[in-house]
Amino acid sequence: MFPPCSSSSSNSSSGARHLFDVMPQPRGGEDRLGALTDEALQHVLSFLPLPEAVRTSALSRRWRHLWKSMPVLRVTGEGRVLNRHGVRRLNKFVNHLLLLRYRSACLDACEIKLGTFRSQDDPHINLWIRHALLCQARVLQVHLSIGNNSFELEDLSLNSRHLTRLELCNVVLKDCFLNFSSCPALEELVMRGCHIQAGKILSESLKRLTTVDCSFYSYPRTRISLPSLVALELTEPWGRTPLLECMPSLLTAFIKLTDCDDHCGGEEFGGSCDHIACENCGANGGSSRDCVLLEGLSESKSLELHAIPRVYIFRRDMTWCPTFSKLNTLLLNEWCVAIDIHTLIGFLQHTPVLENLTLQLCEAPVNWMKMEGSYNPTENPFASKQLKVVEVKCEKFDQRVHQIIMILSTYGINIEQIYIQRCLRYSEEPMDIPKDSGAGPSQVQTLPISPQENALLESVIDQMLAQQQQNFAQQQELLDQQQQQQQILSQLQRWQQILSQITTQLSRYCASHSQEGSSS
Amino acid sequence: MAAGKPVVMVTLVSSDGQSFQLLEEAALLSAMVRDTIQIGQGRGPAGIPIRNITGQTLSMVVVYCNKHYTAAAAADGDDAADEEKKVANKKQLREWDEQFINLEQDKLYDILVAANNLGIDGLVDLCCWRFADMMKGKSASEIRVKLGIRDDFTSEQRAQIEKDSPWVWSRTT
Repeated sequence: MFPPCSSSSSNSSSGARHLFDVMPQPRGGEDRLGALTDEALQHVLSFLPLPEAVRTSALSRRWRHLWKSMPVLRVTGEGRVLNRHGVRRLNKFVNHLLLLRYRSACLDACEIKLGTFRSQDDPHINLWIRHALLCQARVLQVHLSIGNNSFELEDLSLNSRHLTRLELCNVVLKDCFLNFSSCPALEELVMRGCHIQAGKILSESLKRLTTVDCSFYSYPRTRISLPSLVALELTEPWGRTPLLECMPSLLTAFIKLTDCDDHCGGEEFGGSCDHIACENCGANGGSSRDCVLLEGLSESKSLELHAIPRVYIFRRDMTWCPTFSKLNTLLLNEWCVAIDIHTLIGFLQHTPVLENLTLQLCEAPVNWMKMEGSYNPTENPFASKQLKVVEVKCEKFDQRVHQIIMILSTYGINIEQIYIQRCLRYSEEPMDIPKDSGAGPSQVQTLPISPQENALLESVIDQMLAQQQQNFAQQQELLDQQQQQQQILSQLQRWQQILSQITTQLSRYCASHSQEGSSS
Repeated sequence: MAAGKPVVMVTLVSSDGQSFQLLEEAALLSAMVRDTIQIGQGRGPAGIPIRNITGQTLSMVVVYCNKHYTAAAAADGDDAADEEKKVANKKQLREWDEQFINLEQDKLYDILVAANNLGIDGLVDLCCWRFADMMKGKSASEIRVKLGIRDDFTSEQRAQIEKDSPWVWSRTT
């Protein structure tokens, strides 16, 4: 007898879930667990390691076949390093399990989480993935250890109408696998530590993409083509930064760049070298010289762009900076003022509805150049007319912060709207962040602003206010002078009029006099 | 809780007539309460009668709801960007959960039934996890003793099980 296809957990997202029907048993019964339905017991089984779940078949006749329709399968190496023998045993176990479980029992989730295996024989992971999809798995996870990160998932595209979430860790992925055209229900893709050797990541349905610590080695760049994407996290990609295609539904994006192969040599001194032939500054695949990241992000509402100052891809993109017509919240870190303040100003010129701007300036600049002359707002007006709150997080109140405040106040943002928060970086790049911590700002710890800095800040504000007053006084003086000049001018004009009248009268008089003289 | 929001309380009445007052938002963790309120009932002074669940069990369920509601409300108020704090809070809540559910079988069973009837998914999962945890790392006979499962196999059947599926038993624990 085949048990009915479990639907309990598949409708969990729709709100009310009645997992199983149990009648309360009077107390004192020995085997109270036995009063639960098969479905409930299978729910209990899904929290056990797989071998132990299967071994419950020896408990009693009731438990004999329960495992065969478990809705969740967790294949683990139980934290052990598998040698050749271990891998063979695992293969035998999982293959038997998959073949012997009830075929009609739907699979809600399949997790394959293996520790390191050192063996000529590979675990049959590719086979298990296909089988899980045949069992209509909605959630599929493949986690390998960092020691086996050269394991390649078979380059065949996945085919499932049921798969909604796919999570991959430390595997090699190629073109066909990353073409999700045959997974029309897929909404979430998470990749950690994966080697992506594909020209394109393609899905019409995907809404959330998270890639952490993945390497992209492909020429031309990997193109991320996900037109339905709503949320994007691209943390520390290696190799060549992937190119983002248009994402009209994008709401939030978090990008963090540290070590990538995108260099040009000119970047140390302020950005692109403007050579089409230059692999990084110029062409992206074809002959288009378009943006790598920013164009694809231009529809987002909230954006966090983190990069270490020497990363160059953002500054390269600024050359073709698109207009962020919906962007409301923006966070930038040191890179936007790595050399001078032009990049920051460039952003503010392309964000017409920006309201909140956060600048994380924890690391001191290496070779910062103070901009020649001051910023002239009439020449290049900011587009950000709705900017309400600016938050600057800095370790020291250095010249960058000074200049940013000066420029923002020149533009007309009240000093009260600018919050300065002191932050301290943890020692270097923290290496031991838990892998699953995912998105988040770089590690900052807020400290109260010291009295000295406060005093410095106050003095700067005072200085600015004084300067403003001084300017005002000067203006007033100038106005007064102008008025005086005008008065003098009008007086002069009057005198001139009188004079000219006198001259005309005089000349008339002279003329008549001379006539009289000649006639007489 | 945001200031200015009116505080609405809900009363749950157990099968043995004990009433428990809690914030409506906390009670909404239960799908059953959610449904009752949605059809416009349960807000009156009579409260919501919860059949088949005793006061002793219901009091535990109320504690769970209150804790999870407060944790969720606190998480909402936090700086959304502070990922580390979020992870720490989540871990703390999980530790609380594990301690809360560290119960003997009878009580655990009652709570599982209650959570299931009330439609509190998180608590159902927690109870099932706890049952699994009680079975983890134990041999079949140990599990039988722990959970009071009667061995109704004949001796032939028992021998047959191991013979039939060597792929299960060849992996020693």
